Amino acid sequence: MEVTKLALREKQKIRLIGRLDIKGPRLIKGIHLEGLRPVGDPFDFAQMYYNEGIDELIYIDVVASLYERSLKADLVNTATEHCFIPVVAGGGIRSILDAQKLMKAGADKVALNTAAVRSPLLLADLVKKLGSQSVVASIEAKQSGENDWEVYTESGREPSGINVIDWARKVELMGVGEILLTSIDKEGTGCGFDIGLARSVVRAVSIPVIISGGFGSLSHLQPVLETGISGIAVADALHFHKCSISDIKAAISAAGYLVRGHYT
Amino acid sequence: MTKINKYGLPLEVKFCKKCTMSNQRPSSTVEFKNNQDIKKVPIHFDEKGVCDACNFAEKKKTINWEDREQSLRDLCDRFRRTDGRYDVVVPGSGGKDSIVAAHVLKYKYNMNPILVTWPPAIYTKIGRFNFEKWLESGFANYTYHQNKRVHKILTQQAFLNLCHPFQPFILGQKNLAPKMSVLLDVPLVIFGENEAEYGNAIADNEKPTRDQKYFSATDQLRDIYLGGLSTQELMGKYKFSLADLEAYLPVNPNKLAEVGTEVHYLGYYMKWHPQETYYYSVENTDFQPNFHRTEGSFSKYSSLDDKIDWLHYYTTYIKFGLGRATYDSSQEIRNGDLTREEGIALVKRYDGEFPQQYLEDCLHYMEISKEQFLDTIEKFRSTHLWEDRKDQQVLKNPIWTEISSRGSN
Amino acid sequence: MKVGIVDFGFGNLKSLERALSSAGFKNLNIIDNGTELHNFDLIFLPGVGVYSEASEKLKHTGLGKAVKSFIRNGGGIVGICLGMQLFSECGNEIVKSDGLALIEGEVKNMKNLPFRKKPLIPLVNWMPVKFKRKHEFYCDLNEIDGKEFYFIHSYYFRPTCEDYLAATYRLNGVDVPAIVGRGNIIGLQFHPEKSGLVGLKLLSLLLNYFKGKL
Repeated sequence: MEVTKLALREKQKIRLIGRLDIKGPRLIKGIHLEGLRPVGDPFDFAQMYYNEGIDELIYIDVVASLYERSLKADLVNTATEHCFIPVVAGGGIRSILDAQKLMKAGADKVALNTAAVRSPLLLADLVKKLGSQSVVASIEAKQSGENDWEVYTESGREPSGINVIDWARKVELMGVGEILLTSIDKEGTGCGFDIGLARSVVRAVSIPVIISGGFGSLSHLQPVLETGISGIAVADALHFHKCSISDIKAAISAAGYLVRGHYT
Repeated sequence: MTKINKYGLPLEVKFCKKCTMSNQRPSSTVEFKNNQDIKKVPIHFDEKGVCDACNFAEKKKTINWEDREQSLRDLCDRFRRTDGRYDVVVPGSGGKDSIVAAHVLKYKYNMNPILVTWPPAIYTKIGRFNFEKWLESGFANYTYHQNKRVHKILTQQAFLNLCHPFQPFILGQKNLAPKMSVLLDVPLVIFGENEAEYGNAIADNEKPTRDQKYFSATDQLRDIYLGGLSTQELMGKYKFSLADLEAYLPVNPNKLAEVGTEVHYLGYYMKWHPQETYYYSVENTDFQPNFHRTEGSFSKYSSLDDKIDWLHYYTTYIKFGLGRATYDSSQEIRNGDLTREEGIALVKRYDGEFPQQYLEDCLHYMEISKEQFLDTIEKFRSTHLWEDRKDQQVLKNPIWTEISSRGSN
Repeated sequence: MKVGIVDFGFGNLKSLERALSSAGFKNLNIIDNGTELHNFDLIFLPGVGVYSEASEKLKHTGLGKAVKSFIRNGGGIVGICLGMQLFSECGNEIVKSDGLALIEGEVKNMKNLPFRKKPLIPLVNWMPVKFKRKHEFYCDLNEIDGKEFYFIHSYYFRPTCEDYLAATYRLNGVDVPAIVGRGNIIGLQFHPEKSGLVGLKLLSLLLNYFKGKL
């Protein structure tokens, strides 16, 4: 028993991340990356999650690329004022300058999707400038075949024709520190994660993969943890109080995985 | 006195101060009277430059929705049958609005809906999928499958004569439910949203019932036009019989009176918020949005089922300078989901996008060549809206020039 | 006690500034010029980025020399992440380059450590930090012994002399340096300003530690 405990202690923890989809000043929540249902003030929710023990926060302006604008640095500034945990910021980042503005405002990492797909070398440039640990590749994927997923851009609206495994390998090659993987099919549904997608991408790369989209009940955790993901991003279930952060962490721990703040 | 062109459109383009709609938008037409000589009645702007639809949206904020809901309950109580027979006709094709209407009436208000469908000319895959899901949520359905030859010719003629390929669909969409009400002896018909919300006279929105003028007429054949041709022309040229055209003809109001048909729309009784109907559909049924953005606009959840739909909005762009992104963004602005600036950015980006995805399908369906298509488009392009710039047709006064002329963003 | 945060273009000062303020540090200043250092009692050297580039910057601006002189004159320093690694004699990221040589030892790639099972690098995670009881820091900082802090790094700094290693975290059979230093020199591999309430706690402990020392 003691040996098992020790062995467990050395494993890396599963990171529980609060995902906040932003439009303008609002926290919103869509389903299948569609819909702008307002949830409330993003900072109130972020502070609540911070106080309850969330490990990290992601702010994504989900309509930035669509509206041809970027996540406002002001928002990141306010978001990080009283939140002393890592913050990822993304949404319409198209240049090194865009990324630097957000980092200067307090973001620890920047996340890119649309601009990266259009120009993968931008990722490499950002990695060179900011360091790989500061660059996250945000991948939106939709199932296109039994074991195939296609990469989408512009908030799940434009099919790219690119296979998700090829793209995941490409972003790793560009040097990004980790992947934020969102299932368009599952996100906002609360019906469980896309296990096949998670498994396929984790197997294809050697960098951490954070899975996002579909969490709705504690029973969804075991299957996704088994795929080898490094972290879980949750939005819907937290915003609408379907699960608490401590319940989720307790369930991860009970499933035999480590989380910050919990020990077996 | 506003100067207008031969179609009744104002020569000077103005945009609503609150949304992205312009004064070129025509109000709903009585389609079976629609021919090339008919003048449009454009949307009305008040003295502050705000369109009727926006003013109505403001008014909506003061409506007592509890009272309205009570009226809906009363309406349902009045028509609810206790003998197990259907008691309300819900028309639609499986889009989010008809899904919500049927679901809410059955599961919240205990009615027994029968669904009726006037199907799209060319179903999309996602449209068919959502239609099936609509039925799977617990409903039976009567679908009137149009005589394909008739429907095809009417669509073709509507496009060539009016640049309005959607007309045959609109005709049936408005007519079918009242007709089925008569046929099935189910007096109550409930549509979802009233498209009058988008720009018809405010008076149209003050009552819960659809004006009979849109779907009934005492004179069956006289002065009736389909596809821009009179019924005599149609019957003469194409050898159509009365039965062939009946589906497109307005219903006799006497028949409606016999059954006691009443056509209501839920948008009067419930605060109709299109985004919320999307959420409701996804959360309560297996409705799926499209997997990509609609051509000409930015969303994935609106009007997904008809391949002609895309072409329809392209023709409105040519005739009125208003594409899908304008219609969609105006609505979203009124509902508080978009700011006007965001709407303009989306219009600039997507409005009038060429309907590449399904164009071949539509041309093949209508049996016209690409040349005929392009000639027709040019014939109907409103000269007061478009100009030739470096061999490209460009809008003279698009909405986004408002911002650059103000010099700020 | 006058406290400064050194800005040499590497890393996010804002978070650290806010965290220090929350932890009770008053009179915080940003220092971007080596000539100002002598006005301060304690400096923070935060860093995120590439060792070789940072080394170049420290040399080029004269800040490196100024920091060494500051320490010689009895100033206190807290290095964070890359800042901690720069305490070393040299680093091996991209090219071999010089550090501040405040503590003997080299910065190396984590990939070369003898892990039982190879972890994902960069290491991005919360790890419980275990103190060596005999280290002098233990007295003042043991309240956070065993607590989890946020690490994000691909390189590590193990001092040549064991006396300089104050705390580690254990990963797949290897003890990875987490806190190094002695006396007025404290290096943190993790980010206290990103470690939630326990991070703020550590910063307030450091405040007391240095108040007593300087």
